Amino acid sequence: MKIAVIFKQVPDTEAVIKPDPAKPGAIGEGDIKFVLNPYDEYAVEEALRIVEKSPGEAVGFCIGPERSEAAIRTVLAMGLQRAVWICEPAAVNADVISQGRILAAAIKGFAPDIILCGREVIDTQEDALAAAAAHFLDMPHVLNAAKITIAGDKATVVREVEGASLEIEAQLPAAISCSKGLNEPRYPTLIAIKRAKTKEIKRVTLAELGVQLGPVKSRVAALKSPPPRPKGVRVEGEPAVVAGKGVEWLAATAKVI
Amino acid sequence: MDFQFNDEQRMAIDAARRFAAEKLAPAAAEHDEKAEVNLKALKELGELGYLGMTVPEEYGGSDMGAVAYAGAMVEFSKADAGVAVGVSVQNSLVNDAILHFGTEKQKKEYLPKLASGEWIGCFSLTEAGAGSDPASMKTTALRDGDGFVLNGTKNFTTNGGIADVIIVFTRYAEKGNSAFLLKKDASGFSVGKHENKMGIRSSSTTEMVFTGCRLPSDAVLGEEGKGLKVALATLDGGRIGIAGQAVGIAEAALDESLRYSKERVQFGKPISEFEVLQFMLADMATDVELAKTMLFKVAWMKDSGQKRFTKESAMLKLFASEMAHRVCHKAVQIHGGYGFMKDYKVERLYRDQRITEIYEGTSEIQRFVIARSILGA
Amino acid sequence: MAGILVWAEASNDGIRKAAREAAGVGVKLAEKLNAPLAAVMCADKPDLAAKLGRLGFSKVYAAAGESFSRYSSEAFSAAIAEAGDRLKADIYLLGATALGRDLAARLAARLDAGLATDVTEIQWDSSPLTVVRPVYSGKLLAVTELTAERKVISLRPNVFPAPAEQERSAEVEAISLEDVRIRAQVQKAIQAAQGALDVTEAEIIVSGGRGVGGPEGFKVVEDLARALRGAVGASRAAVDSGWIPYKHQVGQTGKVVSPVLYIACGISGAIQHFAGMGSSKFIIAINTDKEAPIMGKADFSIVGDLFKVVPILKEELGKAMKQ
Repeated sequence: MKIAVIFKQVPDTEAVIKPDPAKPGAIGEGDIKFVLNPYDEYAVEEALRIVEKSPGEAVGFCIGPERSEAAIRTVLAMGLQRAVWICEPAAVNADVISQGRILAAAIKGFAPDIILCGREVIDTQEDALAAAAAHFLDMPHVLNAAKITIAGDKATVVREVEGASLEIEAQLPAAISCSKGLNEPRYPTLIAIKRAKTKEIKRVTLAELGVQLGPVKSRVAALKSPPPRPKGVRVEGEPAVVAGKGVEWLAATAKVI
Repeated sequence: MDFQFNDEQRMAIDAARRFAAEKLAPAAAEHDEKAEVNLKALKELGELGYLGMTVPEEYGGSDMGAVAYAGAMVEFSKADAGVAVGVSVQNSLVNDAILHFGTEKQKKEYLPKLASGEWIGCFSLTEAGAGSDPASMKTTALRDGDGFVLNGTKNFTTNGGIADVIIVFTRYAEKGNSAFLLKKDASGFSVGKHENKMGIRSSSTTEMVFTGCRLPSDAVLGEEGKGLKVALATLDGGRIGIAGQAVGIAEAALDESLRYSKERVQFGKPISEFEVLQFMLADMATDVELAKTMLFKVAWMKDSGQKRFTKESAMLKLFASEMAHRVCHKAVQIHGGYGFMKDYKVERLYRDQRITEIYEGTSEIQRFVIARSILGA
Repeated sequence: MAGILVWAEASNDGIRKAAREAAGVGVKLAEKLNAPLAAVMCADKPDLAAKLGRLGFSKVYAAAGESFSRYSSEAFSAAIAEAGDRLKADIYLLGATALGRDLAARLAARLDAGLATDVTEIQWDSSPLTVVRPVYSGKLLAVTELTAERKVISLRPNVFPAPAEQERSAEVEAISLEDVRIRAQVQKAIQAAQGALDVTEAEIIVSGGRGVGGPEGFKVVEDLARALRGAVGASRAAVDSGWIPYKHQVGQTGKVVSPVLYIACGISGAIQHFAGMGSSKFIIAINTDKEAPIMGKADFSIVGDLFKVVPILKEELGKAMKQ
């Protein structure tokens, strides 16, 4: 099987994120450590498992600025065979739907059986990439897969929704976004890290892909901090007493009961 | 000078950090409390290549080099210094000794299984009466026909209880000392007392008992009669591992202190806003940074093939371990009463740090080595 | 002025709460922009469509037929696009439920629209329409201008009020779609255990963390959740330890929730956890460690052993709820 994996580099979950005072809508990247988007690890792992079972090729596709090379090396060390990278600012700064269009153009020639990506990128919290890429490649999509079973030209995907889990059957080729719980992503072995150096990273431009982006669809005008929470009440003491105070507070202040 | 990790080193260290956070940290307090070895994690690290970081690929190693190894040691030690010392012993003492002093046959037999973690090794030098002065050891190896018979008891052997492979140092039949390489099923060998330690409790430390232990002649590691050369040369490299451990423990103590001091409120403001605390934190951060810089310098010296870095590795081990002592001491102080409680990580770090000033050459021995070197004695 | 179209997501027994909240936003926007408003429904439930008048719609497009008996993003997005064409809609509103987010993504691609997901605030008088949505796991809020002609907006559940219901019926216009290619469709739904509420929809969440100590420890958490008719949440530490399934995880790599009340039991409140529940209206934390980060952020923090405090809370709250 041929699997395309869409991935992105994002700030580490522990990073302290602050708006860049000089650039409205952007964050200050100074001290931030960047990592492979955590959900994308599940996509890479799933792709590797699929090609281990049904031999083929697993190729990574990434939109991201120059610093993204570290994430690209990481997916190659995990086992993807090669990577395609679009690092033009116009692509990097595009909205999620336009990025879906760009990735679709990049992926098209590879003609994958399955496109995988993480269920969400944890920086901009966008979760539409798989659906957008699927639309532009005229294939179905399923988001948030907790389990993927492939049989013939169909994938059966289990995903959670509120209060139920759904079993969805998708005709291949299809794009599927991956949730935690799908698998346990492998750690790259040190030997694989060394071998990643020899794998191909191909840079492509929007012009080469034949993509022309229309007018800007959305733009982040500003980033602001969430309002601080008011200072809370602290109680300490006998369990019965503090629990009683908790109930009083819920009734009087929070008015929850 | 180019003071940057290359891509591979950075990725090896990043992967180590992730492994430490996901596989070591969650279980570290429990392993410490129960004095249990996290053997599962150690084996997994073997599969990933972290137990053969300086072993060439032809012997099954990952050959990432000393810089990546030092960085990985820092990451493992931040999460569980007991697992980290197991990694250090395997890489720096066992693999390196075999790599530099072993015959081709020994390398082929032992290194692939050690580098992959299938076998765990230990380095048995210390005795009850021979610590800083290994030449006074009492364990003997006497010629017996074609081979040797070993008798005596070693103590404080790291990885002793989990070792499949033992490097043991003995007095030698004719004169001097010899190193021997054996497997745990050698007749006449047994593991003795398991030590109940103050720190690094998630590592195994045991006596190693040799009672008429019979070994073939090709069990000798290095030159017959020159075992101490094997020991001392190997310990030079070992200091990188222990210094990495000290830096990791100290960095963890610094991280905990930064976090705690921003959260702990006294006199109506976070204690990090008091200058007295800020100065402590600044000193701690400076200490950690300097030790780390020296750590990577010595690792770089090793990677770039410099033969002599005895003085630098002694300085590194001396400074890093005593630095970790200062930093952990302050970290507990910053935490106040809570730092004295087992609920807080700094309590464990404080205990774990202490051994770094003692094993693989005490601070006093390091000073002796440094003084001898700079005085040209 | 072009119109505003709201997706009325049906549940087993009516219209989803998140869809009613989207209706509330639709009504208010229609008023502000003086724009026509309609709902679109993709379910074979004609009675329900007529009842949408109660939420303030005078017009409802109802797509019915075999294609809509089970969810598929292809058929549903086609129906919404068709309704949008008829209404000449340029604003599409959906509740950011699991399927709402799935559908919004496909719809936005199909319409080549500007997409804003999981919106928590709307700047009512802005032009171009400007919305606010959490980014970086809620560490920041992105003030986002939707400059595209067509805009698809999914709204975070539990944030916007549902409109006051009124006696009014809506004109229902049927949409029938031929030749929709459906290549991915729900085959079956396995309902969660009765009464097991999902954290994203719950108004009250009781969550357990490392301090719960093990799978058995979650019983006290579950008991309190049940007494409050809330959902059970968990921290990543508890999920990674295998004490409770992933679907309960709240936080940066789990679910992002905005309940009215969030009760954190034995959770330290790492930045990643706070990212998932920091927008809760009220937070109660119960922890033996008074320095745990969550204790500084909670509205009400109880220093104590959760195994002692939580059962008493359950007892007392259970009584109060009955009254």
